[in-house]
Amino acid sequence: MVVDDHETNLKLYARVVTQIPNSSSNAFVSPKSALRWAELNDVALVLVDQEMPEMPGVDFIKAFREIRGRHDVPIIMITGTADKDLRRTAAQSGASAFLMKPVDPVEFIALAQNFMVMHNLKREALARAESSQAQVRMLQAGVDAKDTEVIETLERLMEARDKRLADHCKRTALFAEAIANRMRLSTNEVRNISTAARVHDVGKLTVLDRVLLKPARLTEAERRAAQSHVEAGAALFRDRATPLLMLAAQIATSHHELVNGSGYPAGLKGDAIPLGARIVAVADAFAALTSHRPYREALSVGLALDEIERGAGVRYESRIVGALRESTAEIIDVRARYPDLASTG
Amino acid sequence: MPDSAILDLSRLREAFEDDDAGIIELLEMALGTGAKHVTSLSEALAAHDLPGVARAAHGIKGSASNIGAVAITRISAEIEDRARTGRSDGMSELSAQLDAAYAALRETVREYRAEAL
Repeated sequence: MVVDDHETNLKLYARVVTQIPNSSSNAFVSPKSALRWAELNDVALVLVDQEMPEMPGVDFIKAFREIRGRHDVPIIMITGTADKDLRRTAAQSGASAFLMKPVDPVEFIALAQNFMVMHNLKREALARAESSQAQVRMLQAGVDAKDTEVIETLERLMEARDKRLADHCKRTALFAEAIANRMRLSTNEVRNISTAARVHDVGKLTVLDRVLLKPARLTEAERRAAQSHVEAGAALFRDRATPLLMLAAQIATSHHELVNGSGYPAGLKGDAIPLGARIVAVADAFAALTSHRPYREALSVGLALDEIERGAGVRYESRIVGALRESTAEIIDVRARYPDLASTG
Repeated sequence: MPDSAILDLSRLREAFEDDDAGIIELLEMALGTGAKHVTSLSEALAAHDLPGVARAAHGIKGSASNIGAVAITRISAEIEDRARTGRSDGMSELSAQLDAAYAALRETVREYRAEAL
């Protein structure tokens, strides 16, 4: 694009541009028309005169740089004087280089060619980077879909073997999702925690029913057998290196850890327990309290919240308990969608 | 060959890759627009508008230097310099010299056309 209010100059510059291979020029006597044209058309290089009554070159450059996608187009400014202040202002406004009148065609062509090569290389590099990012996103989406399939398969297994267990996992996942949302975690984190929580108790499929459903106090051996579900669940995801399945392993392993260190299997304290597991610990306890169990009746939402709050700062992280309390509306909605079998039947 | 004290064709030859017809077309165009700029300059001179004189002379100088119109470039640069420094003396002589330089350029271009085409 060539912009100069003197038609003779315009014609001369446009003629010089024809010497640059694979290029053509659009010439404008009016800088305002040039700006309108640049809004709709791609520009590889701008050659603009400084002294134009309609709009000085510096103002033209500022306005041109404001146009979307034109911030990095090379601009060569042609000046009639070697005024340093003017050049400084023009450079600050976005001029890439300067040429003095009389314009030397050889100098101009060399400069313009270099700028255009650089500009094209930059565009190509950006396009390549965008395309590889898109490929990475596609691959990542493929990995995410495969991981979700793994989790869905385990869920179906739980459904087939133990419907109550499957429903408990679903409710826990939805409570965990409500809590994580309330804690303003990123969309990705919320989705991963919620998905991984859907199989937090999958290890219970390896524990005998007579232990899980025993309506009396467990013996030491039975207690150890019941607690082994955390390792059994984590073992299903061992050696998986994708974010979702690694999180599923963490949550399966550590959702019975308590912030005061009295939980199992490792007796981890506070922040040493992964965040996903700390959230699921609260969601899991709340889901259990509000469900019928062989050894007790289901608690109401209010009573269960009170019970959890008694453990805030001791068994559970206070911030997470607070987020659970603030999620009462979502909790009631989840319970309506996934009613506890024993309490409804 | 045109008189190099009036017209230096070296840059135009590079720009137009020795296309005489193209060069002559540009020079004739410059003579046409030059006449308009000389009128603006004369009006500013008559109105004692020195900033206007400097602007008009600066425009003439830029275009003239680009096409290699050596004499016009030199005279318009002198006019611009005087106007910028607030000196109005000798302007009418310089203005007459500018008119003469244009006339000389017009004649040079005419000869060039006769020779080349």
